[in-house]
This record gives sequence, C-alpha cells and structure tokens, in this order.
Amino acid sequence: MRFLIIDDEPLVRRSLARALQARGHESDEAVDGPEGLKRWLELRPDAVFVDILMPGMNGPDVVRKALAATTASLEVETAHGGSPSSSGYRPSPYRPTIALISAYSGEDSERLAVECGADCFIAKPFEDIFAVVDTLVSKHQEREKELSHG
Amino acid sequence: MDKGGGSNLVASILYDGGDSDGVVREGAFRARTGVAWNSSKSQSKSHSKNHAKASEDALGSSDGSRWVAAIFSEDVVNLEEKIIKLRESDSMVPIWLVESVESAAHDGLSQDRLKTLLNRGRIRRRLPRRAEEIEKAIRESIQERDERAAILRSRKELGTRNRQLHDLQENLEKIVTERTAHLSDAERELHRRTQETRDLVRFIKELSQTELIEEILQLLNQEIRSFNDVVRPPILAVVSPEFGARLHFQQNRHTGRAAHRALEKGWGSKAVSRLWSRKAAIRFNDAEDQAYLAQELGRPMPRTIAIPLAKELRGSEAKGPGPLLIFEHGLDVAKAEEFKRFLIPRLEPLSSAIDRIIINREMRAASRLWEATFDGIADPIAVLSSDFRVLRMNRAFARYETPSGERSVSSPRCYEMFAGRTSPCDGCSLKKVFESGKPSEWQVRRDHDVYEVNGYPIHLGEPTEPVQAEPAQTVIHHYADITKSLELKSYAFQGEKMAAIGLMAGNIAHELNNPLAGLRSLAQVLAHDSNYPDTVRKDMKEIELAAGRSSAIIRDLLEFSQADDRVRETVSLNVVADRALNMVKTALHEHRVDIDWAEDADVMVEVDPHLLQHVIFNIVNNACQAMKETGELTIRTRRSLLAEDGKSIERKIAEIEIADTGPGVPPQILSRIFEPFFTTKEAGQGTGLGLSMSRMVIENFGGVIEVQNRTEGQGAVFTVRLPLKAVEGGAHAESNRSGERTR
Repeated sequence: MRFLIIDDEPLVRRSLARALQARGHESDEAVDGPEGLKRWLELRPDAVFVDILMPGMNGPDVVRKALAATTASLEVETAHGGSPSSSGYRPSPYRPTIALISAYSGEDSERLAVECGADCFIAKPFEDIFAVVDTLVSKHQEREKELSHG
Repeated sequence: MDKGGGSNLVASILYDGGDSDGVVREGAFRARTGVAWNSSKSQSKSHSKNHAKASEDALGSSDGSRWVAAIFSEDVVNLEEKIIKLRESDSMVPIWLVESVESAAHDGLSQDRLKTLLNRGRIRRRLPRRAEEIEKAIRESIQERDERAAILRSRKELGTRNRQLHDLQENLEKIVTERTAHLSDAERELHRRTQETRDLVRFIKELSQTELIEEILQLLNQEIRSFNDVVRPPILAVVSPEFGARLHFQQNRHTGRAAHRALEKGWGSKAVSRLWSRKAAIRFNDAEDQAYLAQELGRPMPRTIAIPLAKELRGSEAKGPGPLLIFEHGLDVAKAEEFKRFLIPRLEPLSSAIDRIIINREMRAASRLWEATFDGIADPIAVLSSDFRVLRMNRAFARYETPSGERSVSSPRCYEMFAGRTSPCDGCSLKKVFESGKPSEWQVRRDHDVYEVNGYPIHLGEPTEPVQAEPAQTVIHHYADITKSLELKSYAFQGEKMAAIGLMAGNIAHELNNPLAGLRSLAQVLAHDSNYPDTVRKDMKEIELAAGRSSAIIRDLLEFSQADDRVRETVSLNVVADRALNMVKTALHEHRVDIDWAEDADVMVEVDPHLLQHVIFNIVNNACQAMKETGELTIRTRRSLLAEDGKSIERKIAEIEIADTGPGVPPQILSRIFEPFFTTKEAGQGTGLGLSMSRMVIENFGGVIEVQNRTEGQGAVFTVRLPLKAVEGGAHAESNRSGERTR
C-alpha cells in the first residue's frame, strides 16, 4: 500500500513512515496543506494521513479539495469513455482511505472528519503507532472489498 | 465696847425729885458705884415735864455714852407715862425700876397693873437699892446692851450691805434682760437670714436636680407658695435653636406647648424679638406682655409680672433671646415689691438651670443623632485607645462582646473582643496609626473571615488647637467583612487563571502534542525495530513512556480547562465512582478496597460525569500513591444533611468519602493542599494541579472538597460533598418540596 502523510511535524511524518515501512508499506510525505494537496493529486495514494492544523491550508480543506478534484476528473473520464450504463463498464473511482489526525481531540475533531469526508479521526499522540497503521490498513482493505463486491 | 473702866459708864436714873433725899441718894449711889451719872431731877410733880425733859437729855447724851435708866419707884409719879416716854425715846435702853424697900404701892397702882406696865416697858424691876448690886446690874446691863448694840449695828450694816447687794443684783438683772433682749433680736435676725440663705441654697440645690422645664416650674410654684393666693403658677417661655419657642405652664394640665404666636410670627419679627430681648428688668403689668399673653393663651391677662432671664443673667456666651418668666398675679404694689425681693435672688440660679436643661436637651439630641448614626452603621466600629482598649463601640461591634464573666476587665481590648485573641491581630497597624497620626488600612482574620480594617486617628483636643499639634488620643477602627469579596476575587482570579491556563493549555497542547506524538510514535517504532540492539530499544521504550506521561498531563490540562464548557448530566454518584475505580484497577490491585455504597442507588448529582470521575480517580490515585505498600482504601457514598454556614436551613447533599491508611496529610499543609501548584510529590511525579483542579471542578458543581486526617489511626480522609439532585418520584419528591418551601 502506498500512503501519503501530510503533517507539518517532522517527527510525526518520520514515525508514521517508519511504522509503515516496518509493516511493509510505502509512504510519501508533505509538510503542509498545499503541498499535501498537490502530492495527493499527483501520487494518488491508497491512504492518507492528514493533520488538521497546518500552515497554508488545514487538513479538512485539503481533504475536501482533493476529494472534489478527484471526483471531477472521474466525471470527465466517464464522459469521454462512453456511457457506463450502456457499456456496463464501471471504472473504479479513485477514493483513498483518509484519516484526519490532530492533537485536538474531542467531538469537534470527530465532526470535522465526518463533514470533510474523512474516514476516521485519530487523536495525537498515538497510543500505539502500529495499531494506528494497522487500523487504517484494515479500513482500506474493507473498503476495497466493498467496492469490488458492490 | 469698853467694859473695863467705870469712868465712862453712864447711867441715867429717873427719879422723882422734890426732896433732897433724891440727891443724897444719887450722890451716895455715885459714891458707892463710881458710875458717872447723868441725872435729872424733877423738882416737883408740876415739873414732871421738865423731869422728863431731863431724862430725855440724859438719854440723848453725847457720843460714847452708855446708857442705862433707872427709875426709883418711890419717886415715881406718873410712872406709866414716864415708862412710855422713856421707851418711846429709846426702845432699846435697859431700864430698871429701883425700888425702895418700903414702897409698896405706887400711886395707887396695883401690883398687877405694875406688872403689866413693867412688862410692856420691858423694865427690869426690883433692882435692889444696894449700890454694889445696882452697879453690877448696870454693868451687866451695859454689857448686854453693848452686845446687843453690836449685834444691832452689825445687823444694820448687814442690812445696808444687803440692800446694796440687792440694788446691784437688780441692776445686773436689768442689764442682763436688756442684753438678752438685744441678743435674741440679733439671733432672730440671724436665724431669719440663715433661713433665707438656706431656702435659697435648697432652691438652688433642688434646681440643680431638675431635668425638665416642667420640674423647674413645679419647683418654682412650690417656692412661691407663700404668695400662692395672689400669684398664679408661673409660665415660662423658652426658646432654643433646636426646639423653637415653647410656652411652659401647668394650668389645665398643659405642661408645655409651642408658642404658636411666636412661631407664627417668626423669631425675626419685631414684636417677638422686642418681647424677648428687651433689657432684663422686671416688667410689672406691662401692656405689651399682657397683649402677647392674651393672644397666646386665648384669655385676658390683665395683671402680669414678666421677667426676662436675659443675657445679663446668662453670661455673654448666650445667644438669642433668653427664657421669659411670667406670673399672673393679684398683688398690690407693696406686696409686689415683696414678691420681687423674694424672686430676685432666685432669678440667676433659675436662669442657669433653664439654660442647663436646654443645653442638655440639645446635647442629648445631638448625641442621640450621633449614636443612632454610629449604631446604624452595619460594619463594626470601635474607638480605641493606644493600648487597644475599646473606649466605645457601635452595635455591630458589640455583637462580639463575650458573655460577662469571661472578660477580665471592664474595658476589653479590641482583639479580645473581636477575634477572641490574647494578643493583637496579625497585621494590625494600630500602633502605626498612633505614631504617624495618619489613617491606615490593613487586613485581619476573625476565624475564617477576613476583615479590612481602616484605622483613623482622631484628636479630641479643643477645636481651636491645630490638629497635628498633638498625637492622636484615639483611633477609630472600621471593620469591613471582605471575606465574600475576597472569595469572589479569589474565584474570579482562579477562574481567570484557569481560563488563561485553559487557553494556554489549548495552544501548548497542540504545539506540544505534535512533537510528542512524533516522539512517542518514533520511539515506539524504533523500539520495535529489530535492527537495533536491545539496549537502544529499551531506551526507546523509556522515551516512549515519558512522552506518554507528558501527553497525559496535557490531556488533563485540556480537560480541566474546558470544565465550564462541559454539559452536565444527572447521574448517580455510585455509578461515577465505580467507573473511576475501574480506571485505577491496576493501581488498586495491591490494596484492599472496602467499598460501602449508599443504599439508595439514586444518590443523584448533577455534574459532568467525566470530570467527576476524573476527580475521584485523582483522589483514589493519590491515596494509592500515598499508601505505597499495601493499605486499605475505604470508599463510602451516602446521602446527608449539611447545615449551611450561619443558617438553620439544611441542605440535602450527596457525599463520597475516600479514606486511606497512608501517612495522612501533615497538619501544616492541610489548608494548602488544594492550592494550585502545591505538591508533595517529588519533582517529575506530579504537577500539583490535580487537587486544585479537583477543588475547582467540585466547586464549579456547587460542592465542596475537604481533607482531614483520621482521628483514629493513620491516614487521610477526602470528602466530596455535592448538592443532592432531586429526581422525580421516590424519596426525592420530599426534597423537592422542601426546596420550594425555602425559596
């Protein structure tokens, strides 16, 4: 799996990267919101860790913009590739598994996550970083399964 | 008296001459006796008168003669006549009747007759004719006569002296009587004057004891009782700045009223000022007085005596019109003079007494006003001497008065009364106020209350003296209870502080959590990386744990700082406590836990359950840490009644008690244990925020948190009391009703 880590805290990025690496995953990093959005759209990772409070652009905005951009591109592709209903081909839409992470825990952060379209919220600091990685991985696999069977 | 010689012995012998025989006999007699004789010889019976004359001559002889008379019986003619004659001429002279032997009868005189005659003439009869016997008899007789004459003389002298004495005595008595009369006059006068003076002194004395104008009037009426039939009881018109003008009199049970006319016209009016302030002279039947009084009393007052007790009598200090004393009378001019004479010495004391009463009355009014003001102030105020003695106090301060008997001295010291102390209160600046003579303020404690004391120096000297010339004699202490405002301030401060901490914590938390999260996670990752040696991985684990603790602190800070924003729920205290105990299970497993839940499952409280849970967790955790090794933790919840401070209303409360068997809290820090940043833990083990935050949380819920040491055995007992939340139905309907009653 390919992960994108968007966080302005180097230690957080490093630790997540190392944990993912230990589990056999690849990861890319972005140090702030705008860079995160750019790399998200470029790299199209399978899962994204997004910090809420970041310089430049906050996490929920990055999520919202990235989701909006990928959904739009999906529609364009569909228009050019003929009618999905007639061909029966339904291309799988790009939608990474998204975890909002923040040092601000609480209802507000949970709500923000739901509102912007993220899949979960994980409070920092992590009790167990491997558990965090594993959670996201299993969440991604569940989604993949749903999509393929759906 | 010469008895010795016979030469001066003279005898007078009466005899009836007429014949030679008589002469012979005389001669013979003289010859024989040697006695000198004065003899007279009656020549004849017809010359008896001469004879008598001769006898008289013989009897009236010259000085020094000693007389004796002898009558020769035989010669006696008209004996009776002779004897009478002789006796008449000298009642005292001894007379003998020398009888001749032969004579038997005399002129026909009977013996009886003779006897009677001799008796009447006191005549010694029957002198024998013998010369020597006659001489002897004469001598005896003369001697006897001399003695008698001497007696007579001394009697006479005595008589004279007696008379003189009597005269003298009479004179003396007269003088004494005169003098006595004079003296008693003087005495009477003196007595009268003394009595007058006494009366006056008594009057003055009685006046000095009067306290009301009415008493003065009564006294004066009593004083003039001797004039009562012509003088009616006095009327007194008094004017004072405080009470205006009043007429005082005792007729018809009126004891005094405002002088309406005077008031109506005002004191500035000419009529009134003339009436009151004219020269002090006794005005007799004055037309203006009569007119004024007739108006005032509503009836004619034809005959008056008005006496202004004016400035001349009252001393120069008095201002405004003086009292006016008025009598209605029926005196004639003479009697009026007497009345005036009687009154004049009494006017001055009367005037002073009235002044005294007016001044007293005004002073009392001023004093009452001052005292009412002093007492009306709800804050305690005391006037103190430099040795802390309470000279005066207002009612609010008097509340602190200890019951009689407990106080040793009559004027207690302020700290004894106010704070029940034996030494001045900590922080007292009374001495400083006395020394500097300037006001100062400070704070003192009374039990748990805090008072701000303002000390103001006061100078009791004469108003003319410069204020700063002398040190203050007394200081006023004004006590203001600032406990509540201090508490509010402290709460506000605490609140502000906590809000600031919250804000700061929020910011710090994020800033800190990020690197912490990385630190912790990275440490975790590295600790799991088998590429590293075990020692490094062990160290990484330590780093991870430290980062974990740091995160926990930040989380606590965040939670407490957000306390106000939390939503409260009505929950069971038992449930919350149970959850908290679950959180510390691992810490508790070393200790024996004895839990005594309240029987009511619904000991309900309205709190943020998460925060309350945290507080209980905190206390239990502290208890476990304090016990170190195995100990016993006793947790008890119950419903209880709490008497509110100073009120009789009891509040229903929910109570949780957490008791440990640790070392307990040192007494000196018992009161500080809930202060922020106060900790007994070693550095790095605790922030000291736990208990202070716990208190803040509990107080925020309207409760209290307390700590005590066990009275028996070791250990600390933490008690959290929260208002019992009434829930519908069940036992709590009752508390609902009582809540309504007290509202």
